[in-house]
Amino acid sequence: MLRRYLATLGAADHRIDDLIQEAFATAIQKAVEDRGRGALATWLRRAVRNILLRERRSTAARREVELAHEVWVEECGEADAQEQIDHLRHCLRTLPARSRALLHHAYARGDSRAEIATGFNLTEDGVKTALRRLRSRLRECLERRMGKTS
Amino acid sequence: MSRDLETKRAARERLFDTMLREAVDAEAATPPAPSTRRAWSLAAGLLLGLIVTLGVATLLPSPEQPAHQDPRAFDPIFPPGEWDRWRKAIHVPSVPIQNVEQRANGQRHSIVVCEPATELGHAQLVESLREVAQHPGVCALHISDLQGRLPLDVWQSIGAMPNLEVFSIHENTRCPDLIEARGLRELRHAPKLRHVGLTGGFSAELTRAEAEALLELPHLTRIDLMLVRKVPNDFLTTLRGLPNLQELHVEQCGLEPGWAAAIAQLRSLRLLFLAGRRPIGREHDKLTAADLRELAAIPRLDSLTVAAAQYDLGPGWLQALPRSLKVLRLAGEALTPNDFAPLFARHGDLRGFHPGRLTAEAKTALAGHLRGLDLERFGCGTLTPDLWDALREHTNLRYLSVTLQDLTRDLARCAEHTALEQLDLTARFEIDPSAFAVLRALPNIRRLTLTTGGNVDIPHFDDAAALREVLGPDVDVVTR
Repeated sequence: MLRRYLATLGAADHRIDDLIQEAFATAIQKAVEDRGRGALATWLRRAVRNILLRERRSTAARREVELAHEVWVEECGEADAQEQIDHLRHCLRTLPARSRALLHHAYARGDSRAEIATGFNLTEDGVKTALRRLRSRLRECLERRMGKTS
Repeated sequence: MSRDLETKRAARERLFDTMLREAVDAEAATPPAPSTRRAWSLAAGLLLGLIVTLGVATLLPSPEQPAHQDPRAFDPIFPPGEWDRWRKAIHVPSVPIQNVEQRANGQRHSIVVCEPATELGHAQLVESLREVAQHPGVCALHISDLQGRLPLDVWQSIGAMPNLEVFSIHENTRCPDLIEARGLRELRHAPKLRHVGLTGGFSAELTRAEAEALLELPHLTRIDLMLVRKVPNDFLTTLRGLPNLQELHVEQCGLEPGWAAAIAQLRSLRLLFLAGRRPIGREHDKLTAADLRELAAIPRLDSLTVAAAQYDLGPGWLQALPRSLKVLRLAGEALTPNDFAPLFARHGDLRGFHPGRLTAEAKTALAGHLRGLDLERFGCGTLTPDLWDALREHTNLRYLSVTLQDLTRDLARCAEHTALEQLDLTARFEIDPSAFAVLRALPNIRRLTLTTGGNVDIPHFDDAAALREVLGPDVDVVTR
């Protein structure tokens, strides 16, 4: 969950583990009382955000972190985005096999556009376009489903 | 303020990317549901609403089947793996089987059981399948994304369908046992079944047992395998017991070392379609001249497609191509200007040629050599004026696949090929449907496929509807 949050805040991939470790170390030091999973999660999010803010020297960079946090709150509130992920899984199942395979290569395997283009008999631009459309379709599906449940 | 908006938009994209990555990972890693939990799954399926579409496609009456690579006799029943695109493209209403709509001249139906539209539970879906099986007009049945296995009596009902010609089944990680030898064996009673497609989830593996079940289908001429994680060699070699197997399509499957020798044992094959990276991509699976020499042992192999392969072909691969080839379809940048002379010297009787990506120099060289051939099908991305001129001499051209550069000019050039039956066009720009009116001059045109942007399953309904309006009801229009 913290990983999702930090990725949204724009933390570099290679820093995310360190930031999480630091936040947990602080939590242990301060003997944060566990008032339930939600409260701890909120505390940890604030902790990693503060660590990240300390690392950002310029006002503009710190502003980016704050704005990204606003986005998280707007999209997920105090939750951990798991509901959205569950809905996205449902949306993925509604895609044709070839589309799912394309997303698998792009997101699960992390293949480059060139590799995907070779595998799917597309141009690199074609891969880019296809992924953009699929993202757009999935986003619409997610919004529709979130709209249904909210 | 606008910078803030931009920053927030970027953060929103990062959040979506992160969630999507996790969702894709989770789907790929979903373990098979144990059979003891099937009852729970069914109940959960009812609650969650298994989403099902009964897409009923009314198909054109078909000439005799199948002429492997012959575009005159294209199969109006869409192949497995493409059903979704076709279903959407032909605007078939999603209706229960009892409300099948028929075109005036339509008597053959293709049924898709899958995907969102109506929310049916597994039990209701099984009932629908029982109903589908009673419909005498059904020639193709495609089953996908079920949450439970099919009861044996449903397999038996499918096997009893008197006019079933094409059957495909697509399993997924939630129900990995959908493709089962026991069920496939029940199809042996279908008197006209000639084409079976098996699509796996990421964890699917085929075994010799499924191949042995397929051996019991006496009229099988075509097998499609797609997205199967492992297709072992003994599955392939077992298929040699099918005396009439003419076509094998292998797309995005994992093959073992020695796969080419295994396929070469299928002596009756006339068409081999290899696509996707896994069979011939990384590590041991690159397509080599040695593989081609193995495949050349198939005595009547006259159509070879190597789509999306990574070429690792040493000198001499052209000489290793099966001599019997009449149709050769390549992907990637496989051919250089110097390759055409030896290729056509050896394969001067090619009737179909798709050379893959070509440099400008290679296109010029190809234009010079095309004049010696008599092509019936050709595909080559963007065509230079030289190539368009060279094609003009191919008066028997019935299938053409090109990327449009100038809509009006290129469509006018297409319209010069009066024997054309199928056009597969790609446009990297917005199209004006009225420009396609020039194609009405083609007396035999039956199908237009238009790809705009990436060709992955996103239909352009507006384009398709407008093109249908322009081209009339006799032309199947597919946009993607």
